This record gives sequence, structure tokens and C-alpha cells, in this order.
Amino acid sequence: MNTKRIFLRIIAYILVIIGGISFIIPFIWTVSTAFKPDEQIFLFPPKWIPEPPTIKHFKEVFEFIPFGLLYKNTVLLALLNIAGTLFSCPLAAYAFAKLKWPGRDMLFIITLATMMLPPQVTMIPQFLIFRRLGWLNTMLPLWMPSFFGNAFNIFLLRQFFLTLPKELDDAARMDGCSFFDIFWRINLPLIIPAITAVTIFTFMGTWNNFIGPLIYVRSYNAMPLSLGLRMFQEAYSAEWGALMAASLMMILPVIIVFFFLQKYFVQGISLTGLKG
Amino acid sequence: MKSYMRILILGVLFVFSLVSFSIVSSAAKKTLEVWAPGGKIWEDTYQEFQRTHPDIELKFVPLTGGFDERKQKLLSAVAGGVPPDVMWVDRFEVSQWAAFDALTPLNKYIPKYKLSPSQYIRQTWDEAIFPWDNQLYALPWQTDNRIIFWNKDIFKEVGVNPDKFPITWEEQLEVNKKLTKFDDKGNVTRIGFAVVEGLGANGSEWVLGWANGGEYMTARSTKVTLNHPKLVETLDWLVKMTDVSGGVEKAAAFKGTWGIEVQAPFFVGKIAAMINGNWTFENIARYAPNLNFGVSPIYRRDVYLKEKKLVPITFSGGHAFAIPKGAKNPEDAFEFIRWITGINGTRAYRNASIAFSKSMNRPWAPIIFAYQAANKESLEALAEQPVTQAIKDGVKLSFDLMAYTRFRDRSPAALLMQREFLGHARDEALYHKKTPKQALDDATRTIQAELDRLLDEWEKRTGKKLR
Amino acid sequence: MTKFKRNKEEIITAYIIILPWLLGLSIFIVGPIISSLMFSFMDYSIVLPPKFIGLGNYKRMFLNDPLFWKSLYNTLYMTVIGVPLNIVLALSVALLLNQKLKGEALFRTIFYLPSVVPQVAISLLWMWILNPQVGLINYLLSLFGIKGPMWLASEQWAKPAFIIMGLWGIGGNMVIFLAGLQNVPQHLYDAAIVDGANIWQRFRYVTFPMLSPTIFFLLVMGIIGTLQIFTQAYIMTAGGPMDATLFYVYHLFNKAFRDFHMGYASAMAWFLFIIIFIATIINLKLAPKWVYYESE
Repeated sequence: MNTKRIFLRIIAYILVIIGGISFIIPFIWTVSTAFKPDEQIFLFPPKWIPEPPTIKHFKEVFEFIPFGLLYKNTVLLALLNIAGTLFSCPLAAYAFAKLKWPGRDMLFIITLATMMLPPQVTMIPQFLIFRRLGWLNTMLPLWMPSFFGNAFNIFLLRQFFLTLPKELDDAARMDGCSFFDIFWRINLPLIIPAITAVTIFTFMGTWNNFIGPLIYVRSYNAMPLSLGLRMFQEAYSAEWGALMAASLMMILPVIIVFFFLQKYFVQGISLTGLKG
Repeated sequence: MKSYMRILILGVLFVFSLVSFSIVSSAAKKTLEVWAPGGKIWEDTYQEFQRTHPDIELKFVPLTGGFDERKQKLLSAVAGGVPPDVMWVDRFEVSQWAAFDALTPLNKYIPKYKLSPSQYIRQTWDEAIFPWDNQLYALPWQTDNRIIFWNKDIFKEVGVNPDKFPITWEEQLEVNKKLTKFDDKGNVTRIGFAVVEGLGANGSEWVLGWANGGEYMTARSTKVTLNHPKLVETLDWLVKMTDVSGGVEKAAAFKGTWGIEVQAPFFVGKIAAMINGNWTFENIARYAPNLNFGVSPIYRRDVYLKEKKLVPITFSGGHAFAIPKGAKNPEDAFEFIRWITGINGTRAYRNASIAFSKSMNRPWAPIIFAYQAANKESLEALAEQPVTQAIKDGVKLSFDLMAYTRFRDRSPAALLMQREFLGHARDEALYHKKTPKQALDDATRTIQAELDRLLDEWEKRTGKKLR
Repeated sequence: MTKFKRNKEEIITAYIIILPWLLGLSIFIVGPIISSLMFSFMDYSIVLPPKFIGLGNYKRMFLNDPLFWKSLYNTLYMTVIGVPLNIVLALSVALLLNQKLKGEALFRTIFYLPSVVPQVAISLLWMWILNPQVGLINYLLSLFGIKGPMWLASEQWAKPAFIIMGLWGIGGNMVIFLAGLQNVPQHLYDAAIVDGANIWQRFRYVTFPMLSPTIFFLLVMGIIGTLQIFTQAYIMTAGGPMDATLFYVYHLFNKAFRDFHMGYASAMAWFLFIIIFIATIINLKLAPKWVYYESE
């Protein structure tokens, strides 16, 4: 038994390491290109270690775009979107998963249906709505909707709420808890891993959202990095080095955030001891 | 239970107060809103405009991303009735915007500002005219063209005269065969003469078609003639040229070895000769300053076959500035586009770009402006730059070639034509799925159907008759 | 299980907590969806006012546009092959990274990395990995004596190439699986081990049912997402070669923004909507057969 266990562990390590190597290649590539002198960027097969490494692309980034300002905008947007999503989505998901009310299944189908139409055809009517609301010269279209929820996250959280045993809720009802208390005190803590996933996705989504800012942003003061990054690809000269350098600076915080958030992917304490 | 309801209601109220606050705070002010490229060089140029026009409050909105992405932004704004006062467009798309009535005709401003087409390179001016109503819809800013570049060292290596590029198709096919190289597995390791866009060339199909006496559309762009016998003949030759490398898949596989930067392979000897744009000069200076290269115009095949005379031809595209319909401040907008395409604006741009290259420690070579007088200044500025004589000569040649240049036919179906021609018909022929004639016939039919639809609608709306 | 009693408090609570989403739906989402449905029956160029043309767009789409069918085929191909592969791989990786290995945090981050790096930045890398002559994949194949295909240059292999590329993007699904795995109570495994279940049996009878709501979610979302794929082909192949990677939404995009034919694009969008809707309803109907909800 024990040797078999060790054997399986070794296989697991081997698989993880092989997979890890292939999955880290894109990142190494980005790092290496960011430090490459111009003439080595296009060498094929690629040269992995720049000779000599240069930091000039990082300087170029600051020459080309107001990087600090755009960074600030991006962080602000990410925080607002996370706050909005965490406010609206768990509530709606809980209503879909755990409560019974007239119209629930119908509204759930509608919720799913909102994801089924390619956004390209709803983009312009949506623009008209934001114009009517007077939001055009603001950042509001880029974060306010998250306070009203989005279908993907609601669906995801609903699925997680549904995996929680009903006995828990029934017991709490017996003790006189309100539905909101059950949601807040019992169900929500049990789906912290899913909440973490939603946080990561929202953060990433805001970080990489390009089309929204493209349509709505009308000044550097509201411009996020995802949009600014494209300035390195003008018609005649793509600044690949600078693009990579800026990408690297842009994704490092994402990686750090992920690294620290992933530790919430552990079994909820309450759940482990639940039925045992 | 009551406490959470209070929290929720407060939350909802909070959101709505934010919404209503934002509605109040967005009162508009009359300024000149310009949507154009950002970055250091451009922004210096706008600053110069602001400095010389203190009475206009310039609000610059950086347009980022590619052609399609910019278009989505502009389309939403135009559809929403909140367009900018000035927008930067590809001249190639001017007719499409004009056909849908999205731009302001500029003709009425021309006498007032004493503008004349002769101040600009004629073709760039004409490209901004919509051929269905003959109105001018944009002022041209910059342009480019296509030339043959070749690597003299490789020519010497295979025993071809490195100082003169072959003229006839037969000779060029021969040379292509000599220059193309394979490894022992049959993989291509060097393309001899790149004449297909995306496989080492740029804009080549269009210019080679004209060089052969072909026409893509009738004069006022009401009829598609993509299956013109001369264009069929040209495509046939392109197929033969591509088959030299063992078929298009092999050529494409080899192309993949260059990564994404289309010019790099020429610099490292993976392409011996190519038809490419004048921007190649600055790239050579930057990435391959020691390259031993030659340049030659593309010559008209039809004239040469008839009279043995060498008449150059080339192909130009470029950008322009336009005023969308519904712009709040068209007067200042015109002043802006006149300034930025004129002598002062181009001078500001040139100075900024020279300063930028210097600060980045990069060589500089000029772009071609649409404004004639600006190009003289550019050449003078180039004379003082530390680049090789070959580059200076090459740039001079590309400037001179502007007299012979042509542009793609203007029409609201221009983008469809580009897609059908280069994305479809050409590939069907290169992959030997159809004969060049079949492929071009089919594409012609598709484009014509769309063009007819657009024409019907345009004629009905304007009450004019073109056919 | 106690029989459900319709309870006023429950219903009121539900309506209150669903309120933000209900408002969001009605303010931001439903309007544009209905407009696009209307545009699908109109000649609408975005710039000019729309004109009603009945079923004109739909007729053209079904009868006169070979690229419509081609792009539909391409997209279904990607969905049918890509979605299951993606889910299986993401699940395998998540299971592996849930084993309390040393350096777990680091490995999880690494597997998520490709989802973080901007697409434009790695398209360059993919050109190399998939290159038939000097690329990594064909090199590895050659070690086994296999002559690799032409990948992106070939009509047959371009779509498989995109599916392979997609596998590098499993990070998001992996994250969802990792979250899902935390909801499988350890005591179930302990009980299974006591009963003498082997690894496969433990997966089949414990992990899989407990994860089935997550798998269901990823299946539905995978279908919705893959039927709308667009970006990579746009950046890397422009739909080629020979339209092999012209995906449905890419064609729609061409029509909407390059040809100013938003009415037609809307008709395409609604046809896709119907396909996705039917697929989702089938999924929902089949769900009770294999999805296990602890709550019910």
C-alpha cells in the first residue's frame, strides 16, 4: 500500500512537472522577449536568453503611454468590478439555487439566454443606453453594470450553492434563522472556493477587457491598460519589445493575486466535519 | 431579517445615487474633439496645434488598436449621434463611410481656405473623393508605395546580376527558381522572389494587376471587373511563382518560421527579393543597417511588351482626416485637418518623429506625406541623418515614384473586395482548388451582388442615377 | 426530505435579493437583445436608419451565402471536439493539483499562466510552436518517427491546431474544478476506502457525482463560449487558409463592421442564439440523468 502510494505520488509529480513546463512556456517567452534587443525578437527558432538583456523596452513603455495613470485606472476598475460582482452575484445565485419563488425557472432560462447572443450585435444598442444615461464621458459603463450582476457568475455560483446539502438549511430554519441568515452565515462560507474563482475571473476580466474600454473611453483619464497596450501596434511599426514589456508589467500583479488567492481552494472546515 | 433588508435597500439606493450623480456631472462643453492616433510623436504634434491655435480647445482622444477596432468605436459613436469633430480614417474606407452618409463633404471649405488639389499628391486627394457623388470627404495625410527590394549578396551567390533586377515575367520566374532554396527534406529555406501578400510581399497583387494592364473596377466603381483577362493572367503567374517553392502550403510553412514580423526574413536572407512598402527603408536602417540591397520600381508589363519602354507603376494607400456627419464643431475641425495635413502640421510631426527616434537611439527615415511641399523638407531632413547612402537613394526613389502611383478602387464594397480577392479568390487559385479564372469569376459575382445592393439603396436614397 | 411549504418570507426574500439582477437585466441587457432581434428583420447599416425587410436577411443567409454554412461547420467542429477535450484536460489537471503536492501553489499558478498572458503576445509564440518546419510540436512528433502536418497552413489541420492551442487556456476551467473539488467531503473518500474502492471507483462513485454540477456548468458554458469563438482566428489566421478557420462569429463580425451590414449580422446572431438555446435546453433536460445536486 505504502509503496504504491509513493509510486503514484512520483507519477503525479512527473505529470505536473511536464505539464508545468509546457504551460510556463508562454510566460517565459513574454519575459524573455521583454528583455531582448530588437534584432533578437524575431529570431527563429527563438533565442530564450537575451544577449545582452536590455531594459530599454521598459523605458519605451513609459515614453509611449502614461503607464502609471493607466495602471491606476485599471486597478480602480478591477476593484470596483470585484466589489460589484461580489455584491450582486451571490445573492442572485442563492435565490436561483435555494429559494422557491414564482417565475424562478423562467428567469433562470432568461439569465442563461443573455449569454447566447454574440455581443457584437448588442454592442451598439447598449451604447445607446449608456448614452441616454449620460455615462459616455465617464468610466461608469465599465464597472457599474457589475453591481447588477452577470449571468456567468450567477450561473457558476448557483451550481455551487446546489451542491450544499439541504439538511443544513432545514436545521437552521428549525433554529429560527431567516433565509438571509442562512445565506450569509451558512451557505456563503461554504462556497468560499467558488467565490474565490469568481473574484479571480472578475479581476482577470477587467484586466483584459478591451472592447468595452475601446468603445466607451474617450480620454487617458479613463483609459485602462488593456487599451493602452494596443498603442504599440500601429499601422507601420509594431513595437513588439515594448508590448511584451508592458504585458509583463501588466500581468505580474495578476499572477501575484492568483498565487495568494489560490490558497482558498481548500476544503471548507465546516464542510469536512459536517456529516462525519 | 429586518437588518439585511435595510442593508440591501441601502445598497440599491447607493447604486442609484451614483447613477443619477453621473447624469448630472456630464454636461458637455464646446471643444474640438479629435479621434486620432496617440503616442509621443502624435501628441507632440497636437500640442503644436494647440500652441498655434489658442482660441480652440483641443480635446484629443487616442485611437488605439487596429483598423477594425477603431471602426467599432467610430460606428458606435456615429450611431449614437455623438461623433467626434475629427476622425482619422484609412483612405481606403472613406468611400464606404461616404456611401452611408456618415461624413461631411469638404468641398465647400476648399475655396474658403484657398486649398487646391495640386498642393497634395494628386492620387491621394482623389482617393478621398467618393466616386458616386464626386465629393471630397477627407484630406489626405500620409501615403506609401510598393517597390522591389533585393538582397545583392544572394544574387551574387547564385550567379545572377546583382545590379539589375530582371524585367519580364519569364526572367523573374527563372530568377525565382534560382534563388529559392530547399533543405534535404524538401522544406523551403529561402524564397526567391516574394510576390504574394502575406508570404513576404505587401500590396503586390494589386500593383502587379495594374502593371499587366488589368482594371479591378470601372471608372465610377459601379461594376466589378476582377475577372478582367489581364488580372486572370496575373493571378496565373502568381500561382506559378508560388509553385516554385513546392506549393503554397510549403511557402506558408516557411513563412511561419519568421514569426509575426513580416519584414524580418528579408533582413536575414530568408527572402532574396520581394515587393514591399517604402517603410522597409526605415526598418532596414533599424534592424539591418549593413544589408547589401538593391531597389527597383515595378514596371508596366503591358507597355514594355508593346513598346519595350520602362514605365514605372506602384500602389499607394494611407490615412486621412475626415469630419463625421453630426460633428458639433465642423469649422474648427476643418481648420485642424487643413493644418495637420498641411505644411505646418507635417513639419511638427516630422520634427517630433526625428526627436523621438533620436531619444530612442534609432535611425530615422521619412514617411511620405500627401502634402507635396512637405516631402521636399523631408528629403532635406533625411540628408542630415546618419543613414547609409543606399537608404537615402531608396527613399528618394520611393518619393519620385509617387507620380506613377495608383490606389485601390474606391467603393463601399472595397473591404469586401479586399477580402474576396486576397482572402478568397487568390487562395483558391494558390491552393489549386479552382483555376484563376474560376476563382476570379466567382469573386466577381459575389462582390457585384453586394455592390448592386449598395447601389440600389444609394440611388433610392439620393435620387441619383449611376447606371 | 420535508415537503416544500410555500412560504411568504421565502418568496419576499427571493424577490429582494434577485432585485439587482432583475434591474440589471431590464436596464442593460434585455433592451439590446430585443433591438438586435428587430434589426434581424431590417436592412440596418448602423449609420443609416433601419428599414424593415421581413425575412430578407434570413433568406440570404440560408440560400445565398456559402460562407454562412462553412463558418457554421467550422464552429460546430470546434465545439464538438474542443469542448469535451478541454473539460477532460482541465479536470485531470485539477485532480492532479488537488493532491496536496509540494509546491502546489506554484504549480496551480503556472497552469493558470497562459490564461493571463495577453493573446496578442503569445500568438507569436504559437506561430513557432505550430510551425511545420522548425516548430516544437512537429519536432516532438518526429522523435516518434511521425511527420507532422502543416498545421495552420493546411486546410485540414488548421482547426485541430486551434483546438490544441485552446488546451493551453484550460486555466479558467481548472480554477472552477479546483473550487468544485473542495466541495467533495473527505469523509466520502474515507468511507469509500474503507469499502475497498480503488482509485477509479473512488473517482466514478464519489468525485464524479459530487463534481457533476461543476461539469454541467462547464459543459453549458463551453458550448456557449466555443460557438462564439473569434479572437484567436482573427489575430492568427484571418480566417484562412481557404476559410478553414472562418468561425461563425468571425463571419458575423465581417458582415457587421466591415460591410456595415448589421441587420444581416443580427440575423446570423439570432440563428446562433437558437442553436445555443436548443443545445442548452437539451443539456438542462438531460441533466437530471447524471447531475447530482446535494440540495435536492
